[in-house]
Amino acid sequence: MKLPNGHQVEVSISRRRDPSPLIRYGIPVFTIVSSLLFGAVAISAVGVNPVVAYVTMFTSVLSWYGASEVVVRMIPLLLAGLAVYVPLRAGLWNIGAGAGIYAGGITATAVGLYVSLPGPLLNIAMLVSAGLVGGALMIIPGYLRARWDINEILVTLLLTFTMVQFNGYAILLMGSSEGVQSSETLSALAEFPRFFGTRIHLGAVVAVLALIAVYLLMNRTRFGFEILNFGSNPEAARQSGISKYKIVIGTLFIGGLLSGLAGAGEIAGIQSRLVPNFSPGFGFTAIAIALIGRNGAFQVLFASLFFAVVYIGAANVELVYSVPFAIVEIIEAVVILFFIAGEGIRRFELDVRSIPQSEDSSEVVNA
Amino acid sequence: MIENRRNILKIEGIVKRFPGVVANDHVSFSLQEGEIHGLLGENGAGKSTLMKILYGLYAADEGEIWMKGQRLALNSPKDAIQAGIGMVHQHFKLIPRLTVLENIMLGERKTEEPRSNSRLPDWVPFSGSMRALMTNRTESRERVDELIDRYGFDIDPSEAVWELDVGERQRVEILKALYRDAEVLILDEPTAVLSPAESRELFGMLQKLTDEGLTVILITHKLEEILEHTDRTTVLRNGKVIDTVQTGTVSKAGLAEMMVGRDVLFETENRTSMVFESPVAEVQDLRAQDERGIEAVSGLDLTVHEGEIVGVAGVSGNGQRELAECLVGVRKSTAGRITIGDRDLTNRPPRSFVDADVSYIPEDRHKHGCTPDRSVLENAILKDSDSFGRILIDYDKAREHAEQIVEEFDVRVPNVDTQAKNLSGGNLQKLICGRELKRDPNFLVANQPTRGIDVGAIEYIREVLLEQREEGTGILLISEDLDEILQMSDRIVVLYEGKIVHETDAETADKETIGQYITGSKNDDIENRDSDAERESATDRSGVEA
Amino acid sequence: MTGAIESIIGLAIPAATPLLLGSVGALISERSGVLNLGVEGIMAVGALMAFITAGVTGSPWLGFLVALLSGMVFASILAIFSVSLKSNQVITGVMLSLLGVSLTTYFGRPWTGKSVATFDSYTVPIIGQYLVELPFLGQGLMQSTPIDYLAIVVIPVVWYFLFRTDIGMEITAVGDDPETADTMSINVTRTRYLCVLLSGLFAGAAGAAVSISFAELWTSNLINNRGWIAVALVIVSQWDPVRAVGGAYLFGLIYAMQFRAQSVDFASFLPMASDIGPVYDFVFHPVIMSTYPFVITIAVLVLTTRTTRKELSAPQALAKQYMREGE
Repeated sequence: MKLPNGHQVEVSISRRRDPSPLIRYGIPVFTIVSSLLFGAVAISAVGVNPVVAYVTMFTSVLSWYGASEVVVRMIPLLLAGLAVYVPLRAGLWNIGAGAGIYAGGITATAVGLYVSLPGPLLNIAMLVSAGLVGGALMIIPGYLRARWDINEILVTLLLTFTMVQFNGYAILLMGSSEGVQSSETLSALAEFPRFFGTRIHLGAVVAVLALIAVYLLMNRTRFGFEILNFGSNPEAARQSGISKYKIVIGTLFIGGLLSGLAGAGEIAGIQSRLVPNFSPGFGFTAIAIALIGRNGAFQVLFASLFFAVVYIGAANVELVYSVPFAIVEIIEAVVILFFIAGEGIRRFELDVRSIPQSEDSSEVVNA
Repeated sequence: MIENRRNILKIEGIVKRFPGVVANDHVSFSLQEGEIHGLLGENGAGKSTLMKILYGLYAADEGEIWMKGQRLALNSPKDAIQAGIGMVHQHFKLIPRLTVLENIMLGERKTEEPRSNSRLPDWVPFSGSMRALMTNRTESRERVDELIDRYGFDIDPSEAVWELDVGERQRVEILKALYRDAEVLILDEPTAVLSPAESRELFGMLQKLTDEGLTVILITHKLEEILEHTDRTTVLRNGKVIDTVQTGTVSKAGLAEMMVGRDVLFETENRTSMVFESPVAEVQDLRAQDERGIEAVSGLDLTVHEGEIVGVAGVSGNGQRELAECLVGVRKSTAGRITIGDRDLTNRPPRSFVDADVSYIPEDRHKHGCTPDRSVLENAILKDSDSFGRILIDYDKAREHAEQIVEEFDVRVPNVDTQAKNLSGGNLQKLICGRELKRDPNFLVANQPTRGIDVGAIEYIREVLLEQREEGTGILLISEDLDEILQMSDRIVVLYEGKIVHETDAETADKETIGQYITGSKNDDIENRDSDAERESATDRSGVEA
Repeated sequence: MTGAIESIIGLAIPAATPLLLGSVGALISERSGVLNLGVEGIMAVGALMAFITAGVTGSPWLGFLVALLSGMVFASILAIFSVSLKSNQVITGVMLSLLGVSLTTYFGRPWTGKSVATFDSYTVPIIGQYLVELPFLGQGLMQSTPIDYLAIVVIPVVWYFLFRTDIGMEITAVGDDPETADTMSINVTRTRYLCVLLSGLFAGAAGAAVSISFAELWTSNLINNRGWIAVALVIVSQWDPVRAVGGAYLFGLIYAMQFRAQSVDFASFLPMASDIGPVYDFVFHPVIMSTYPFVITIAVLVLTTRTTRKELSAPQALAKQYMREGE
């Protein structure tokens, strides 16, 4: 490459040998600070004082109500985050957490409306069926990947959109007399109980159990051992007798199961009826959560906490300052992008070398 | 017959060091214009390093290369190409989706004088890129057609490469070099992927090329090829040039001796000479293909008995990996039977073999032998995780097990939680050995177990293998290190082009003879078949056994 | 009946344009090995920028131009992340889509519901009047704007670029085997940057096609997953711009049928309507039909993986990071 002053330089990217502590600890700080700065710019662009907005955002969650709303929001985020996390440890991308959520929500609604069982049993039936249907759905990308190596990214992605449409259809099928926009409402029996007078519902218990289950799975069970080693080197794992089918289909099934539970929670715990688009972007947020938390189940928990806080905080900021709600997604996306950028900076460095002009690359000297 | 030809390429005192080894140790020889010059040597002799230096991929530490009286500075393949050195790699650098012509033309516009230069003058802004948008393939096509006619290639430049077979693809690689005005052509083990008929065609073509003044370096380990097709040969061993000879003046045996050396046979330890009875592994008429679909194992019979070490000698690339992988369930065979113990495990998944107490030390410890991000502990129990719990893993017990392995097999790590990727080659290999041997297997396949690791680790691994033999494990030891084979085996077989061409007891084995089998200059398999055929036809003729 | 079919085709043609443009862009990027899952976001950015520019300057063509540029700029983020920072292309693309859509939702609010200068329907000079007379296609062409024509005209150019020029050859090489391409002196980095930026250009154009040519309005969910359909279309087209045309119009047709399903009873055209009526109801239900593009894509994926030679389907180095050995 030629510089303006005529000098030749060679620019290349090479692996960073030993990241200094400055880089290693500075990167996470860089990620958060840059994201917040970016958000601040966007906020001031609509004429709101960013400092005030951020203060509101983060203090609004400190109230009793605010905190409970954060928990409410964490339920689907944690479950969906785990749904992406488990396959990710095996090296697979589950972009279809959204699909599982919708499948679970539809199933829970159907069971809640048409099956009669005593209260607690009904709730359990709704949960179990939602999980199983969600898991079964994910067997499709799992099998395609295990058998024919078809990229699960695209299949799970496409499944998500298909399920959004299916959700609309299901609403019509289970339609209510009130109008087209929702299904029949679940009876009080079918609805998930709520706790402490807040909107925190049964799903919270499910989410906590799921968190513990995933943690134990990964750290204590043989299946988890196989998943982790398969993720590290699928070929070495295969040669050691670990079954590819078991891992690929198994982890995606678990992903579907967890997101199915999330969907059931959203419908039976919050909406009480099937509505269109009840999982706006959860699937994508889940990817972000799993990426940040990719080293452990509890990291996933913290990541989902972070995003839940941002979400609720933004809702409040919108209420008070009329900052459009889309700021949430902006911050979400920006956080991940800076996070990835940080990773890139940590792993690689830029080399600029100047090439002396006099030397021609193929030096041929007369003997 | 051999006129006094000019020296076209002179290699003087090339030295190349890598940590722990001198790959090229003051290598010097010269090339005469128009000759086919063989470069003979075992793997690890320094042939590929030398060629990479010649092709600009490596920089020599010392030494000079002169071409036609001018000293060359080869800092990149571009320099080599510009100097007129062309290389035909063993693994073709072709884009299957593109046509022959496109593959040949690829990247040409980046060179100094691209042939397909459109008539756009230089002063037009962005003329470089604009030319890239236009396409003037006529000139290129003409040149390619001309080359094809002149040398008798049998190729259609408009065909896509994926449609071509191996021999044709190789010819495209040669064309690529010729197109760029190569005067010296280096061929790296070209017949490794060819059938005998295709090999004959190749050499016919090389003859034509040299008749027209091209010079060829033929890198090979096959003595037949050297003797039949080269004018002169340089033999490398352990990084040094043993000699450069007129091929017509040496014998097969002479070449083999130069290549393999007359090292003193290692004292075999006083081993209990055992009678080997029960077979732990048996293979009948095994056939298998490599990744490209070419047959790598071509009908092989082999038996390994309890407490026996069977050494498989031979140069890598003759079917070793495929044989090893079939024997442990990692690769599917295309024909034949594999019996482990008394069970037929042909084409069963790896799990079945693991459960049948078969252990495997793979050739590539990083790619196939370990999970790099996981800890030493996990790697230590990778195969037998179920013996630590069917559902839950008892990590305390696993830790003990791992620590035992680390202790017994001298794996130098601070603790068993270290990530496997942080282990040095030797330590990783010891860990893998530990894992595979501590299971007390009935049958062990070890493929190049001591390759690329430090001397101390090598000795250690050989020791533990011998100990395992005492325990009654039947071991199949595949190694390119003939000394190692001779030192450790009870019985030796030679693998050549997918078949076993020789079998002998370790006691009666001698290095030179085995060397000849390794290089294909002797072949019991063919000789036996020939003599069988002779006997048969003799019987036919006279009606009685001759 | 002809009227119904005509109106459906009339809708299908302009509906297909954004899909065609978006997928051709994604296709170019993928051919060089860079997966572009950010098309949805880039389209959103292009759409809004086109809309705003058209509103402010009164010229849809200027808006279109700005869309091209802003698409390129937005796509450069993907380029930097994927090629230079060697980040995971899946996540970068998905997050870029999220960012694009949310940014435009955020900043586009004041423009919701406004009307700006948009592209009018356009008849090709001279032969136009005859084209409009064509059965079935005629009405569709009547509703086509210059952008719709542009989209079709650009396809042969792209085809030529990819399959007949030296750069096209290099792009293919880089996408299949960057190491070999590097050995042949091709600058992998530069080639990939070029392709990603081009895909941004096309995706921006696709966005403009939605906001100032097809829908002629701005709302928060204007793009409505068209970007994702365009990505799916790349697979259906098997990375061939000419096949992308067929796929785009097929998907456009599905969209149109979906849209008109309320007023048109498809079953009445088909045999055995009385016997398998409920089946037809299901098959032609608008919601079910909206799943067809994805179902078709998955079907194509499965079929081609099993039948096509591996070397001839997806670019072999797609979504893999490339680094020179020894670095």
